Amino acid sequence: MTTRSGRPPMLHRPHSVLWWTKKRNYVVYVLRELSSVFVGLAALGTVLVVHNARQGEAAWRAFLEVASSPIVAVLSVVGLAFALLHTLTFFGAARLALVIRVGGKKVPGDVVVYGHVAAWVVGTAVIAWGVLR
Amino acid sequence: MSVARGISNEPIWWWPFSGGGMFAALFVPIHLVLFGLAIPQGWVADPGAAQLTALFEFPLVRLYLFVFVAGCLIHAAHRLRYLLVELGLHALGGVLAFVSYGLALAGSAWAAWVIFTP
Repeated sequence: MTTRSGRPPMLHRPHSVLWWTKKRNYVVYVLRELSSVFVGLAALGTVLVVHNARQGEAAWRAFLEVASSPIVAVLSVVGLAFALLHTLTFFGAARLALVIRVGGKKVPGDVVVYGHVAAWVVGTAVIAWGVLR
Repeated sequence: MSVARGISNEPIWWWPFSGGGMFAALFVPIHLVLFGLAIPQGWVADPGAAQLTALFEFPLVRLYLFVFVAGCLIHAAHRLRYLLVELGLHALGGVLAFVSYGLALAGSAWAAWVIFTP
């Protein structure tokens, strides 16, 4: 059976909107997916940083004034918690998703994760150095 | 009964989605620590607009910033699209895809304008 678009029809059994509160795994899944909201906000925040810095010292000072407010500070702390959740779960998924072979042998999942953590540490250090030097 | 295979736009979004997810995993934490907390709260010395602008002039830094922003936006759009469907908005699947990817592309265009304008 197909629909007019050629795809099989999608059938959904009615269920509560709060289905994800029933199990701990589901809650973690929804929180993990929600982390993408803060990933998007961090991206837009980065554009604001570039925009205001390029406008000159006055615009940059005004930007820092807003960014130092309690609301933005709380948003940044919550965003950082979600960002770290994204980082950890993404590296965990790479263990399963990335199949790397060296000399015909599969690289163990732990090594893949350690490689990602190493890249994270180096990337973090390079950006901090570039901005603060 | 014949089952026709539908054409999916999934592969087009998969590459920027997974690449954006990697960029987000590696770099969002330090971006938030530096520009959301450490510099505004005065935990470290403010580099100032002149030093930051000089940094943002480097072609490689511009490329990094654009790939970071566009990748993060497309990653977020892709994930939120499916999360909202999973949370019950099955009927709005097509609209959600249009709105989420549309916003991600609009945000990327804005980022390109801010980052690459001389």
